[in-house]
Amino acid sequence: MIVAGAAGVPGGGRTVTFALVALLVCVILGITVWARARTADAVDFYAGGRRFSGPQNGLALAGASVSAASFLGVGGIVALSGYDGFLYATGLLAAWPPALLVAERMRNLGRFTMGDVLAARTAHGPPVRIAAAVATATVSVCALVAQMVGAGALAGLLFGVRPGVRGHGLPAGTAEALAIVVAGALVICCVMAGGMKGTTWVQIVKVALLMAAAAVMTLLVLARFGFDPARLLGAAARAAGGGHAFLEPGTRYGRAIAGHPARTLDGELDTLSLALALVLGTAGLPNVLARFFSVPNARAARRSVNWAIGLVGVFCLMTLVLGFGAAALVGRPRLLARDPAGNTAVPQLARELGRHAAGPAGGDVALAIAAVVAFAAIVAVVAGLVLAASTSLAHDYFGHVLMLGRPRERQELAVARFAAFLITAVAVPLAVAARGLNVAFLVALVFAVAASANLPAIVCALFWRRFNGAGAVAGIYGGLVTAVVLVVFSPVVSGRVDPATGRSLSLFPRGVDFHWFPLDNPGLVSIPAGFLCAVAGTLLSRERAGGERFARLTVRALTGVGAPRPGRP
Amino acid sequence: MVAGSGPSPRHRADLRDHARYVAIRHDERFAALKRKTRRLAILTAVLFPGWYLLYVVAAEFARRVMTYRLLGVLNVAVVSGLLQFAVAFVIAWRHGRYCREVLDPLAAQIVGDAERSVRWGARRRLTAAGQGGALVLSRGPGGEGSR
Repeated sequence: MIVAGAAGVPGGGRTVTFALVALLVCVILGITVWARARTADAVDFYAGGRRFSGPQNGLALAGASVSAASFLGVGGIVALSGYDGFLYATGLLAAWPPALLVAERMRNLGRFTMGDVLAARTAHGPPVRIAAAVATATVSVCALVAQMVGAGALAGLLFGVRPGVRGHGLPAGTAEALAIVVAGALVICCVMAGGMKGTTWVQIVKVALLMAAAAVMTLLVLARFGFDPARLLGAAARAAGGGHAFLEPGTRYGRAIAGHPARTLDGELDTLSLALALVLGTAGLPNVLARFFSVPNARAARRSVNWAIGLVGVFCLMTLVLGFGAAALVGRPRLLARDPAGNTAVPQLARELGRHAAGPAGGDVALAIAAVVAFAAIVAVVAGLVLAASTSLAHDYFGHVLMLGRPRERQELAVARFAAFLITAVAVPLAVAARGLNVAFLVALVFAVAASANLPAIVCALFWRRFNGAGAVAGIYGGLVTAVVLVVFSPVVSGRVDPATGRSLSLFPRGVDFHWFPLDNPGLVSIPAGFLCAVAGTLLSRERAGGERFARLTVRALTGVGAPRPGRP
Repeated sequence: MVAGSGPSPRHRADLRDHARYVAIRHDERFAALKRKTRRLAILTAVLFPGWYLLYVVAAEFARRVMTYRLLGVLNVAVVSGLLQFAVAFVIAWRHGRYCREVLDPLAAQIVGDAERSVRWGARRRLTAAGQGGALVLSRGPGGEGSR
């Protein structure tokens, strides 16, 4: 087996891969040029002119969950840990019904950002907008560094040559850095020139590609087992060697540790914490929130969430099949040899399926396609994050705080474009520096901050009459600080050591240990803390509640009277 | 313009929105709409995340139940995992249908009536202004004629 040995893609496959990457770059640049010609003003840049239809926006919205992280990550978890992949896959889906609650109201109340919606609840906008911009930027930067490190790792695993192994191609480190830089350059072009229109169409193309690739692979896997899912599950359990434990909870999340009931409980609570952050965090992700403003009306916003639920559900079901397929067809030893974390399980499965269908050349082409689709997915998600962060900085901070709500539109757009450039230009070297480090803490942070800083403020602003600006500020900073502090002092940052090899499993090397919080995911504590701070901030401040303001906003939220329409900013 | 609360070309549209807003607020059907959306929101917010969290808690703390084998390789854990998907789809479908069949028509009715009452009120005020009366916009037409 060549895969387990030297370079990921040998000889002919490498040419195909480079050709596909070149094609992908051309498609993204083509979309960018097309979008640039159709982006004239702020509504175009921030919200695509609010002219996306429900299904279009739904496809792009689903892109937040239908991503490389879920295609490769969930597939890998299922392939190695079996049933526990279910918990993660269903979590990705369970996050979307709550979005139904906020989508329509957000669409009617805000113009471009979460800051708009929160500031509408108070007479003193600037502090609220600064808080919203800080939370948005924190989530976006963490998420996009994590995504870019993922892009590098993918390229390194697939095209790179491991140290100590001889073969053609780039050293793994160079391949990783190159992939990160290429992704960054594409994102800068796409966001600066194409704005929301460019970003959305790249996202739509990516979701279509990913769904198509997953669908074809799912059919091929099921065909190998006579379209009988039970046979697939049985074969996967047998190949994994764990027997029926492979199809039962507890192989990865909340693993029982003999003789350590407290540590077992920590593991179980950690799973619950992760689930809570996933379910409540997705609706608070900035790249998801930004999409609620890019449709003509509340009805289209609701339809787009319904489309997203359908797409994400089908996609998660397919990744489950792919994961079990990888366990059954590729086998655990080969998966572990390539990547102990399992992130290459799906590309390896693609190669296995391709080779079974069309010989070794078919295997190489299938692997190349799977890898390029995953790369496209990373570029699209990063573009969405950069756009959301630069929109918030330009619109909330520059427009409404520095310029007191009266900037020239051209100034604000120039700031947004410059912010997009700056954010990406900072994130690329960060990601290059962070490759090789364990960036699990970034992923934990993204969902935890989105769920504990953004969501409490949004929920209170939409549903609580008494809520005010002080509550919004307290809720955002309270949730943000709690989540960040708990992650810094958790085992993902320091103090976890692999008992077998003695190597550090944390961000810091072995020997550095300042952790005291037992869970990897802080959601279980930080989400209630965010809500508590929002409530306490509201009740303790002297700011008037503004019942009249709330009544007015309720009319607007439920009927759309006075809400921004396409063609009218 | 990107923003601005001062006089702008949108000023007239804003006044019109204000009048419609006043009319809607005094419409009894709006209270019903509010009640119905709130009930739907609570139902969706509690049902689905609740069902998912129950599933996660069961997977963590009720392993005995979850590992009970039903049929061949299928155990309670796998079946309830698949049920998650079914429930999400059903909730999204029912939610969409309720909005389409109940909430949207009700909101459209309320807005349509408010629109008519605002037009009617504006015409009456213009006539009054023509006869030398003051143009009072801040009070708006109230709920009259909205039903």
